Amino acid sequence: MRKLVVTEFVTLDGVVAEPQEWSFPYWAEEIGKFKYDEHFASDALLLGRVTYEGFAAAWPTRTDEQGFAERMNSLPKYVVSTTLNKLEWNNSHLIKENVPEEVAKLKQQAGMDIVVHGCPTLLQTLMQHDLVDEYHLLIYPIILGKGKRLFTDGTSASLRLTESKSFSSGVTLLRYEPDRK
Amino acid sequence: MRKIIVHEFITLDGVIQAPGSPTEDTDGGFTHGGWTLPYWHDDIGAHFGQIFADADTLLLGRKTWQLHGEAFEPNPEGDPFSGFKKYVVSNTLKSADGWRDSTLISGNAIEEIRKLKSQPGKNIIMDGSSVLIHALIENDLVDEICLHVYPLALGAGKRLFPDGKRANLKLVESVALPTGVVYQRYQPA
Repeated sequence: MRKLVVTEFVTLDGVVAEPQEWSFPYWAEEIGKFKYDEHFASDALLLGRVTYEGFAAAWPTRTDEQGFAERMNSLPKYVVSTTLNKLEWNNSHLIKENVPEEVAKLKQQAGMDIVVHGCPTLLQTLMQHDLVDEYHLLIYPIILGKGKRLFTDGTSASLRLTESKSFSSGVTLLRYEPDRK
Repeated sequence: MRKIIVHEFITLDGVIQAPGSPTEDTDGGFTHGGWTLPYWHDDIGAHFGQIFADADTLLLGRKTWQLHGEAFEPNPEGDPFSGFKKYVVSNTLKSADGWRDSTLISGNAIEEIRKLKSQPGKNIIMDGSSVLIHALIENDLVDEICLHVYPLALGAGKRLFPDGKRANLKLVESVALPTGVVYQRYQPA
């Protein structure tokens, strides 16, 4: 069974919305290395509509020496949306309904990790159905006071810390798994 | 200038309500009180020891002050804040007689707290006090935030950080405890 990994840039007050607006000043080589390893341990993306639209607008024109963008563009993308009808980005597949069942089926397939970036709305559904196997939280030393949060009201979780590491720019990586005891 | 050091037990969803017991604070129908208990580790006590060693004053909101006072006034030997001066911020309390060495701050609390910071002395500690902490964060009066972060999301409860306040911080310490709690210390950037 494949693991479903949720990876998030999170502020100290729990906001995950629009990290491109606040995360760049805290970039560090170690973060790049972590994101690279995470990306190359996965072979599918699961995205909500908002994140899909952002990614689909940005990634197809990008290239880099490490092959990060090429892999992003070639990997299968599973996009959860009730409003989108046509997906332009290469190798994208729409999930319109029965989201928990469809995601559970993806997890049953052979393969590497399935990664969810951002997508707080989709995440609540995944958490409520106990579909998340790992959380990679990069905690940024900033409070924003507004924006969508990682955990919304009414979503509870009991987790197990598997790794913690702080980076030179003040970002802390916290890795958790669900505490399924 | 003395520093105001905030210490909080906090969940991954930012909740600080009733960390120590089910009856501590049930405002809003909060039913998760006592969520820190399964994750205790002696290093948590050691972190408190470090914070206390550089402090001589406690600043609290009414509710947290009352809780501490009810627990420690009849039991001075067990009072970890013994020898500390206490300040309680409230516009409803009539007196601060409920706990020894306490002084009531009412009226313009922010102005009074600025004055307190400019007096000579060691650091001023805050814990709990979610309402008061929002006001201090909004007014940039906090010099250090020490967080014990628990591997939980509760989905409800009073949060540490106020809506509408943006601030950049710097991480000064990060250490994980064997029980899954992460101790994070931040100062204004």
